[in-house]
Amino acid sequence: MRIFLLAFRNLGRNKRRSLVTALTIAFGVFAIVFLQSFVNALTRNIIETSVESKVGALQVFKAGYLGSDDPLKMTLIDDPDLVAKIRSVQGVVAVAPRLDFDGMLSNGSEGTLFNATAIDPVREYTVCPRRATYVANGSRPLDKDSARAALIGATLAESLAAKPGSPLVMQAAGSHAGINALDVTVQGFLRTTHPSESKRAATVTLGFAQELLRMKGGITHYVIGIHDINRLEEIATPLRATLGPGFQITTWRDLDSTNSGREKAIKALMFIITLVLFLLVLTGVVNTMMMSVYERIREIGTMLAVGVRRHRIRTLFLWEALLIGFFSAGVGSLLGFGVVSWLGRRGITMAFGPNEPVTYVPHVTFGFLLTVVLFTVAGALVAALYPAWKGSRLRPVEALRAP
Amino acid sequence: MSKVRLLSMSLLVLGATSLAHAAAPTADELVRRYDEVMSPKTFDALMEMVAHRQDGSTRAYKMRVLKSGDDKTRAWFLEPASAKGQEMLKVGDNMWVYMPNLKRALRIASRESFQGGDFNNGDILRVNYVADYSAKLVPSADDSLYALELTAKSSEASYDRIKLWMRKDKRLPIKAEYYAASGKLLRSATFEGLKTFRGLERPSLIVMRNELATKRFSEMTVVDMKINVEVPAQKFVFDDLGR
Repeated sequence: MRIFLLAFRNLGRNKRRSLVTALTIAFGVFAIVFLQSFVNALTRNIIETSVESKVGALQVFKAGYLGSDDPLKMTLIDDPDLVAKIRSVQGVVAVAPRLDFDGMLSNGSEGTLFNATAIDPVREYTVCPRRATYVANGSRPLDKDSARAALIGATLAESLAAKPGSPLVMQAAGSHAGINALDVTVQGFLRTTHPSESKRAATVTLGFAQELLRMKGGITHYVIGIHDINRLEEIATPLRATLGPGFQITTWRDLDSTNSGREKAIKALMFIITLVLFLLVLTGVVNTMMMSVYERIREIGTMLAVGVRRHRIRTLFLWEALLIGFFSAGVGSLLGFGVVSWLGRRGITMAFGPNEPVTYVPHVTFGFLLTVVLFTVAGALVAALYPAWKGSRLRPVEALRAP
Repeated sequence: MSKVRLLSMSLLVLGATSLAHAAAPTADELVRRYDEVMSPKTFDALMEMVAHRQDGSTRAYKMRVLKSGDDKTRAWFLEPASAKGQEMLKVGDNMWVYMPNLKRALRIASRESFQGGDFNNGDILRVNYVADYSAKLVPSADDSLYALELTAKSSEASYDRIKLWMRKDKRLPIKAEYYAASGKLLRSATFEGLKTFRGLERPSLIVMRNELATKRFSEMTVVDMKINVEVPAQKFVFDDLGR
């Protein structure tokens, strides 16, 4: 207890140095928190656009579907028993069927190729809730009344001079049937993030696709929603075991390698920057602690002469480092949290070219703040080890004679 | 009755029945005739396919097509430069396209478009109406034509239903309409340019119109054709692709 108070008082004795050290640490911590909030905003956006709007967290295919020359030969039948089996795995929250296919979309005089995803207009939103907002402004998402409707990419619509309400013909063929064609009405446009998507993407209801392709009950895969996106492999492994070798389970990272790569790159980059910032702050701490010891040589000499044990001297300096580290980090992180929360509430909206504007929400968890403070304190202690040790090694006679 | 009379009477009866036979073909006979003419059992032909795209531009493909029996067809693309070196092979129900730049053969489906035109792969490599469709004669609006209605009977049939009109005089196809299972008219074709290729008289030009995208159409011309040729079996082996 006495050492604690002593350390506290010592910090107050050289206010300028303590302040400078404190500010360095606080600024470093603030910067780290701020940076992390952006990393979180970007990764959250990636998860939102990929997992929650399009691909789901996990997917179940028939073994051999992916990479097949004729994927429509490797289809599943929408089976409630299979769905129940998938749901029985811990962590699975929702399951929805999908049918992916391609063909030609025409307006009577012209036609273009398309890639379609057929969704169950009720079950889909339990897995990909953001698909309801994955439509262009003013368009309605597909629902159970959209039996003969389609949402298409804006460029696709443009190439066929189609507007909401326009009648088009969708032509496609299942693997065990000839070419079929059905009338479809444009219900609206998809919100796309990539020009190739805008040129080719179409969404229709599952019933429509099954009728077009003459695949009663047929689906290409299931998409699965889970309770915690950070637990992908923990849920995928028991799922693989439950379903057995006839099925292939993939994660969103396998299907959306672009976004998965982006997420990894952002995290790696930010980690490096955080590390650099951290080391810089620690260097500052080492520097000020060295200076502190140097300036207090006489004081240390006195203490040693008076009979204070060497390890007590060391402990004193370490406590000083701990205290300043703790308080500065605390202030820095709270300040960071405050700024991040304010930004998070407003959101940062950016528009990239012709696509719709995206809103990023910076945020950090309390757990992260705690981790930063803990690491800073630990770092400050490590930084102070050498100076403290050096200080305790002084010889009283020489120390007392110092200027 | 004397032997001579019996003989002449039986000859007359035979003659009469064969005449009657010639006068009213069955639907199956007409479909068989279609296959004989449009896709002879064995042939070695030079063909040209011109795809007219919706922006008005055209793409012309020249290829050599070899056929042996009902289930083996091989094609080599000679023009244009972008398609030169590509090959196609059909053996039984399997179809492949060989891409020279990949040095690999990819599996393709009958129902997929042939080089982006309005014919599909089945229309070029797999014409076997006898096997794929069941036929019946229907009343024809035009007295000089037989009207047939073909209904798909195998899963390899590209179309659910085909309406086919054939000339009564030469028993050659003149017009066809191709329908989807939903009832929509997908394509319509006219058979023109009668030519005789070494004794086989047949239409040399098929104009295939895309009825769902009417700005598009494709033309297939038979430039030359030899039938009843000796075709080495080696040509229809998967490993022969690219050699």
